[in-house]
Parts: sequence; C-alpha cells; structure tokens
Amino acid sequence: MKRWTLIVAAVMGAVASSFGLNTTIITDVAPAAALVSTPVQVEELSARTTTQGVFSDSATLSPGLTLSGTAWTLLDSLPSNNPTQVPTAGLDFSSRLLQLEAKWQIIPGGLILDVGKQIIHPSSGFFHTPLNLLTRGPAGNTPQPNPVSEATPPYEEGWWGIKIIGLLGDWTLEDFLAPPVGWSDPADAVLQYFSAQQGDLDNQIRLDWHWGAADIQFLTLLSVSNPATSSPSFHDRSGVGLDTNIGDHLTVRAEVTVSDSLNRLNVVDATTLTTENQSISWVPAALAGATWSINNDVSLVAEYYYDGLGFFGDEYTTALQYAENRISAGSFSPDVESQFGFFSLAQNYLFLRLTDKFTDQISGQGWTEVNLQDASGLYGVGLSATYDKWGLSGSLTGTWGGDGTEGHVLPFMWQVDIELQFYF
Amino acid sequence: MKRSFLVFFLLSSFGAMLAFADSPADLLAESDARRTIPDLNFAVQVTAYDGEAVSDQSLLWGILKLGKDHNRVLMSFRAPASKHGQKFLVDGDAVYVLFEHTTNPIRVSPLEVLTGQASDGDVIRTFATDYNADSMEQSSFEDKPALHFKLVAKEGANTSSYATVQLWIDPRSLRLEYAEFHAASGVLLKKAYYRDYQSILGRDVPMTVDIFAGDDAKKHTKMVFLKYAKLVLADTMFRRTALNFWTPEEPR
Repeated sequence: MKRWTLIVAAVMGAVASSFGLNTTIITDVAPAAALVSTPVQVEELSARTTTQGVFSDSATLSPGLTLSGTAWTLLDSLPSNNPTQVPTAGLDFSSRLLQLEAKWQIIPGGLILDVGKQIIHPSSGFFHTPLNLLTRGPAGNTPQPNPVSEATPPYEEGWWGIKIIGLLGDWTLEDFLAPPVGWSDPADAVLQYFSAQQGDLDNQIRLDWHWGAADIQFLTLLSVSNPATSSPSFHDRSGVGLDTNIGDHLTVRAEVTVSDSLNRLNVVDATTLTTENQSISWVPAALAGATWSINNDVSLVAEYYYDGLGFFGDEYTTALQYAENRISAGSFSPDVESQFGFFSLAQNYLFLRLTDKFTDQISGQGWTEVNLQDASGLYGVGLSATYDKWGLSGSLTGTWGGDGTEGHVLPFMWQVDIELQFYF
Repeated sequence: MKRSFLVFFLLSSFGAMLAFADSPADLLAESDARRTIPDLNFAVQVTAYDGEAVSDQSLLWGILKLGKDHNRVLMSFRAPASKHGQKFLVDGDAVYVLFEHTTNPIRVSPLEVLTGQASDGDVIRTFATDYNADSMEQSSFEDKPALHFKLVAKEGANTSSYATVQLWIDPRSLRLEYAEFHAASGVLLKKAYYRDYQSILGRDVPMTVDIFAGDDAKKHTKMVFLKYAKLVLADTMFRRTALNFWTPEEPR
C-alpha cells in the first residue's frame, strides 16, 4: 500500500501544477524503534510513511487587495506513531484548509484589514517559542528531520478570524479576533477535511516596536472558554520578546511569557500510579538564545529554555519514578512524561545546533537538546540537498540517559527520517 | 601609441580636475547617486558558478527604498521552485526572512548568503552613508584611469559586513568599476566587477555585477538585472511586521 503514496503524490503534483498552483509534495519515510506493550513490553521497529501535498495560490484583485489560500493533504501509514495501531485501510487520509484570507490595505502601508483563516505565529525561529500563544502545532504531526524545533513547523493550520493592523513609523499594532467556530459531530465527518473547530473566543493584541537595531514585541492573548454560556471562563497569557544583532556575527533573542493559570497532570503516588489534574497559577516561560554566524556557511545556535509548568526538584524525581513504574507495568501510552510535548518533562533545557552549508545545494547539521536537570538528552544529525524542483533530506535522531533520567523513560529510542520533496 | 597616451593623459587630467574639485566623500556620494534609483522595482537573476559550471540560479523581484541612514530592500524568490515565495527584508544590518506558509519573519545574520558569493546586501549597495573615505588616489583599472578609494566602515554604521572596502571608480562618469571587500583582519572576502552600464530612469546603472570569492577565483556569482521600474511603497512597508503583507510585483 505504501508504494501507492509516491504514485498518488506524483498525480497530485501534476494535476495541481496544471492548474497553475504552487505545489509542494513531501514524502517522508521514518523507520523508528520504540517500546510498546503488546501486551508484554517489547522493542518494536516500525516505519511511518507520510506523503503531504501543499497547494497554494494568491491573486491581486485590485491594488492593495489580495486573496490567498493554502490547502494541505496527508496520506499517513501510522498516524498514531504506534506500530500496534495501523490504520484499517492501510493509509489514513486527512486534509485541511491551512489558510484562506483576504488582505486589504485600507491606507497603503498604514492600515490593513486581514479577514479569513490565518496562521498566527509571532515568534522568530527559536527552538521553543513561548510567544507562540495561539498555535495548533504542526499539521498532521508528521515526522521531522529535526523533531524538537517548533519555531517554524512545516505546515500549520490557521484560525478563522479578523485582524486589523496599524503601522506608524517604528510601531505596529494589531488585533486578531478569533470567534468560536463549531459544528455537530455528523457535520464534522465531512468538515474535518476542511477545517478544525475552534472552541474558545480568542483575542490577541500585539505591539511591535523597532527600537534602534532591536525589535521588541509585546503580546497578550485573552481566551474565553464557553463564551455563550452563563459561566464563561477567562484566561490570559502575556509576554514580551526582543531580538537584535550584535555586529555581523551574533544574533541574540529573548522571550518571556506568563500565563494566569495552566493545567497539568500531577503525580500523586508513583508506586500506585495515581495522578490528578492540577491547576498552576501564574506560570512563567522563557527563552534566551543566540545564533553565531561563524562565517557565510557555518552557524551555531545556542538556546536556553525554561518552562514553569514542567517539574523540578522532588516533583521531578517523583514524575520520573512514576514514568519508570509505568514502563515496568507495560504501559507506554502518552501520559505525564509527554503531556507538554516530546522531551519536555523538566523545567530547564539547553539546545545546541551546528549547521554547515557545504555547497549551494547541500547542507548538514548536528543538534542536541539537553535536560539540564538530569543531563539526559536527544541528539540528531542530518544532511539535506535542495535543487530547483526537488530536495532530499536524511536524519538520525536518538536519545541518551541512564536510569532515573528523562532520556531513559521515553518510549522513543531512535528514528531515521528520509524525506523527498518535489516542487512544482 | 601616441594617441592612446594622449587619451590616457586627457582622461587622467579630467579625472584629476574632478577629483580635486570635490572631496572624496562628495565624489563617493555622487557616484552612489548617479547609479542608484530611489523607489526602484527590479528583477535580478543571480547565477553562481564553480569554474564554468553553473552551481545555482535564482530569480528575485525586489524593491529598494533609499534612506538617510541606510537603504532598505524587499526581495522575493521567484525561482528556484524550492524557494519560491520566500521573502527578505534587508534593513541595514538586520536581515529578515519570511518562509512561505509562515507569518513570522526570522531575523538572520547579514552574513546570510543569498546564493553563491552574493549576500543579501550585495544586491543593491551604496557606500557613502556607511563608509568614510580614508584615501583617494589617481590610479588605473584595466588600463584605464580610475580613482582608487580606500574606505573604512563608519563607527555604528548599519552595514559593517566589511570593515574596509577598496573601490575603483571611473573619474569621468563616476561609474563604479571594481571593488574589493575586506574583513577587519584584512582578509579579502570578495571582489566585485560592475559592468554593462545602461541609462535607466535617468541614472547610469550597472546591469551586471560579478562577485568573486576572495579565496577561490573559480567561484563567482553573476547578478544580472533584467528589469527596472519605479515603484513607490510607503516607508512602513519596509518593516519586519509588514513583510507578510507585501505582495511582490514584477517590474513593468
């Protein structure tokens, strides 16, 4: 069945390009090893094959008025990443309208109205992005050559809403309002192929200030759950970010956010494997990092990330013990250890990445993410070649860490990722 | 031979008169002004060579906005297909990249290479606002008289990618003929030849810029400007936050 993904990809690309659409087809094969329960604990080898198609176009309807849209499709052999849960049809199909928006420059360069489905992603190329307040994450959660980087997920589904932007000198002020958008379960059987639903009423205000050589962002996101009921609940998350160049070689950046309250799954007793939902007030998150461009071809990224929602001290030790006990009991489903994402149980992490552009087409990278609380980590090496109409990438990702570390309690063991891209 | 010498002598004399009529800084500013079109909409083809072989080729559309302190350039890849839709803003030392299907421009180093030997800042380059003329001498370039400038980056200048630059400028037309770009250590980073001048929108513009690697004469990148037009955008469109709202246009 998997061999059909390439044929389908070629047909999709040919059809879309014949309509004049900008088209990207990405086929990814990711052999991996993970611990699974079947029901006994075994190391299972699997290979997830995905083929994504991205089709976009834009048109200028009149001076200052543009319309653009992007559609995304996915054929996936293992959407759950669990080799014991293979789709019954062999391949799972999903699709989304990532973005469909009309932009109107009411006052050219001064006042802009943006209506439709929009990707809201305010941060700036970081390994973690505290300021990415309103996000759905990577569409389809497909394998990535660098699985820890969330700064620019390859494709992200946007939000239905209306945005108004004012630009004046070095200042930009924008407000984005996203209303709840929902429908019935029967309707979702069809509409899920066009759009995900939006549960909350979200309003994000963003102020950008270009100050000297620096760029400063202030953001605040107000989310209202159950807005149409008599008991709506309000949540706020605000933050500030800064980036600048120091000379030609160094780019530095920092972000800090605070959330009025966030929920997490907390361990009550690691021995009896009992947990509880816990609400944490005033949760900070922060990132500080730099990119050192050693020369035109080689650069080094170093970033420190703090997540106040993660575990620390005795709580962290208990959470690790809980995860170890769950594995011993033969349970590998996502739980406490992966509730904040992949390799993110602790509060303090360091990320390093060295990239080298060997030629105009070929580049390589090596990276590592280190849990600063137990010195376990992830590593990866990758090589990619990009030509006019196609590209090929390969990477290897693995973990390290002894007993009682986060690297040891991850079911994930290693992954090879081979990705072939076609551009039409 | 005598005629050639006479022509050389006359041109040298004319150059000398021009040179002594204005200060080096004035001549540098005048040279910049003669070849730079404010609010310029351009299409440029950038081809990287390794010896005779083409190693990479790109087509970009862009817009230049001249500023008092530094210039700003918006650019967008039209080719290759793998980079189609990628947008750049070069704002002095700051370079921002907006990848397709994202809305967050990423700040990158001004050393970021566009392709081959061409950096983002090489597409449109002026000198007077960013460099002081340390010296100016009568010289020659390719057997023709030339003014040889030695430039040093101004302290706090917005484009300090190159600590020192040496320029050879035609003394009569003030056409930029050749430049050598050096790091603070004195290492020669790249050399650029400015050729195929044409009169465009009242300016004397080099249609071809050929950039050679300082350490490898086989590697060079040729930028050929295919089209020029005038297009005025508001200053605020040359901001990071506006990159998502800029719609690239082919010069007409």
